Amino acid sequence: MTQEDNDLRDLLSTFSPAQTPELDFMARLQSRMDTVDLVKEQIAIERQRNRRAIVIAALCGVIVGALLALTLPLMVSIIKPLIMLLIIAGATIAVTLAAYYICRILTPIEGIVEKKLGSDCGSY
Amino acid sequence: MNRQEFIHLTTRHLEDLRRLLTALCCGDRMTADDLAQDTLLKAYVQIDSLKDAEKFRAWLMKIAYTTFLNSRRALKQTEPVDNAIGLMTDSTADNSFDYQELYSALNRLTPMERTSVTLYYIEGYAIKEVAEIIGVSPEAVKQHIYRGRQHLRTLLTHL
Repeated sequence: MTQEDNDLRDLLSTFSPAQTPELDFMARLQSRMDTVDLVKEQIAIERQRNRRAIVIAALCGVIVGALLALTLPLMVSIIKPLIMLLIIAGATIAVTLAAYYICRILTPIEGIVEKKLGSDCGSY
Repeated sequence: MNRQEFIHLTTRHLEDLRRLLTALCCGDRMTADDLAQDTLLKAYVQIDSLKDAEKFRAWLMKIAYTTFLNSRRALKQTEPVDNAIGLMTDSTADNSFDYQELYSALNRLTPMERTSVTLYYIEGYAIKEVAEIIGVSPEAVKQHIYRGRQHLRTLLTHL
């Protein structure tokens, strides 16, 4: 290692540029982190809504499917079996999808109602 | 890791991060601070992917390097670094004038040479650690450091 290399190493190892105040930097960073936290919270709420809607929709599908299957003997005597099966399958799918989308619509309304009730209590 | 723990780790390594980015940006403090902010936000979003908190500093430096490279690709800076340093010293009284020659010299290195030299000499990382941060082999890092050192010796007239 030559003297020039040592001098270069000394110059670089003591490199210490002045910076803007750390408090200002951290204040700006924390403000941006607040925005990130808000977005993360919204994503978590959205995921919870989806899970709830899927569970309720699946339950509706099972219940309607079971009811229709139980009443099949009665309906067989009136309508042809193939058409009956198609109606049962279609009705089950339709009810499941309808339940899912209704849950997705109702949940934000539930949230708005809760917020409204909460803000009313907070005004005292 | 929760937000408070992240802030605590950030505060410990903030000076190192800003110093690295100031060197990579050749003294442009405003850009360096913007990149530092972006780096820390990316780290905060991806914090769950860090398995070992002991490696937080090296992990942060890796994100900083990637953020710096992406900003160069996006902006394609053509402004001579001397002009930027002149503007900086007009606005604040600081020691950037002392490093003007160093910033000019660093600006003439390739990004790889500049990053390797900065991480090795200024931040004190070992060759293997530098290689992990910038994503090349240790042999390549040695080459970059050697070439960077040769260039700096030529460019820094007071050595």
